[in-house]
Amino acid sequence: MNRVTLINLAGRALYVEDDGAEAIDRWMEAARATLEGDPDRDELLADFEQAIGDRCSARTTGETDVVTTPVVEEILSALGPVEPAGTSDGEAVETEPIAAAETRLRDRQLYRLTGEDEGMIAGVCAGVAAYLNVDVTVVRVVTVIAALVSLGAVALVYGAMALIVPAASSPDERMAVRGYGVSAKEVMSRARENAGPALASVGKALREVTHVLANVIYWVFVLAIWVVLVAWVIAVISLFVDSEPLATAFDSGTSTWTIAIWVSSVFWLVAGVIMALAAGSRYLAAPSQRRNLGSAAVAVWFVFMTAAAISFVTIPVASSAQVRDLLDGEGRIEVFGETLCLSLDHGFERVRDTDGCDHVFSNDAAPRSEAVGHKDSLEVVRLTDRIVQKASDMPSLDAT
Amino acid sequence: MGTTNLFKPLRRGLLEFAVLTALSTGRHYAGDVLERLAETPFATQEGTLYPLLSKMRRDGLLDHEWEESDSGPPRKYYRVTKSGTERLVQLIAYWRQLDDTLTELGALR
Repeated sequence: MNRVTLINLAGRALYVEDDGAEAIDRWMEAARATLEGDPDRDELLADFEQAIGDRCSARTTGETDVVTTPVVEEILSALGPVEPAGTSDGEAVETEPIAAAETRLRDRQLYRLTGEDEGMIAGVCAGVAAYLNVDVTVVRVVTVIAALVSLGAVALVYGAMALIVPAASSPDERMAVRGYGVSAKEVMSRARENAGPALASVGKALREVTHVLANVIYWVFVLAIWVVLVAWVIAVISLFVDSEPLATAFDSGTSTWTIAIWVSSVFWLVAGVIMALAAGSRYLAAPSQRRNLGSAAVAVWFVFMTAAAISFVTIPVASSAQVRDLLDGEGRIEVFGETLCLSLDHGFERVRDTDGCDHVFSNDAAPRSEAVGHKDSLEVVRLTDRIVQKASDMPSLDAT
Repeated sequence: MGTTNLFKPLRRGLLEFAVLTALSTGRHYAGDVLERLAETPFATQEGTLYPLLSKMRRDGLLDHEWEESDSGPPRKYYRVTKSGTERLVQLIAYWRQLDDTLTELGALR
């Protein structure tokens, strides 16, 4: 017959055979002696107690089930002897061979982060967030909003990036996203170059030339992007100061806002193409071990996000400024006694009357022969039938 | 059995490297680390792992937080700190350097 003791292991009550309980006591005493001098000894002993308790309760079927001595011995041998982890003065790892200067930050590389606590779908947002050093929630919210605003275009970009951008598969790549530390690949290639045979020098020189050329081209593209951006700002400002030069390319009566959207679209398209070219040349300029198409993907992502933001801001502004004030609750406006309905396929600021004639609201102050009415500073311009009316014959919209 | 004992000091020296790598994917408790290393040459036991984890935490390589568990008392969850990440990068670089050196010397050809 075996006696049984009720013992308490880190808050867990267990029935253990007397011999087993003694074995646990002996093991814990040995651990206490081994960990003499360890600053975390008490915490470690509590951890061990908990580990023994966890393993014991995994072997019992109910509250009153008894842990037998052989089971205790099996558990204790599975825990192994306690080995102190040595001193904590940081000497455990010898890092001297890598000079301090080489552990600096390196160029970031984009990877998808698909680890447990990282990505939700394909890890694109987590990767971009780590790459840009931004909170991942911010990137996710912005992406979801952009996906809705751009009517799914950003979702397509997400899908493309999930396919193109490689997933970080090693701690080294995980760190490369954040730009931490020296690249192991670089250390390796440096060692190779130092010991490389003379035959390789021709190929090396060729590669050098390609890198330098690609770098020059890259900076030309970067400059071009800035030129385009400045030109865009100047064009938009000049449009609102004096719209004549740019407006001549459009239908008479096209509103300044419409022209602004068109001009912006063209500029951003050009900027996007240049950005993609810049990313391409940067890819060529990078040393072969550091090449990563991720930066090109970031450029494309950036362009789409910017385009989505612009369309999100400018379209409502343009429509509300021009038309919304003039329309009634059902999107109709009364001119010359007839009701015109908003015709969306003609754009926000055009309306079509019952005869099929288009009318355009314009805040352009230049006199036009087609102008047939006005309200405040806005003129109503009839486009299709080109009826010439004297200015004095123009009925005021306020009067109808 | 012969080689297992012969290379024991080598494995013990690299255990910190292995633990950092196992923890680098996120937040894990000690049992996860044991499980991940169980099928590798770095298979270890609580008696060795716990003191190592607490030492790595004192060195600032790891950080831990308590979390309630469904069964039993709260568990300690470990994650790699920024300086732990830097240490891991250094270890990886050094490992490659050693590998390269041995290749140059002809051992791994």
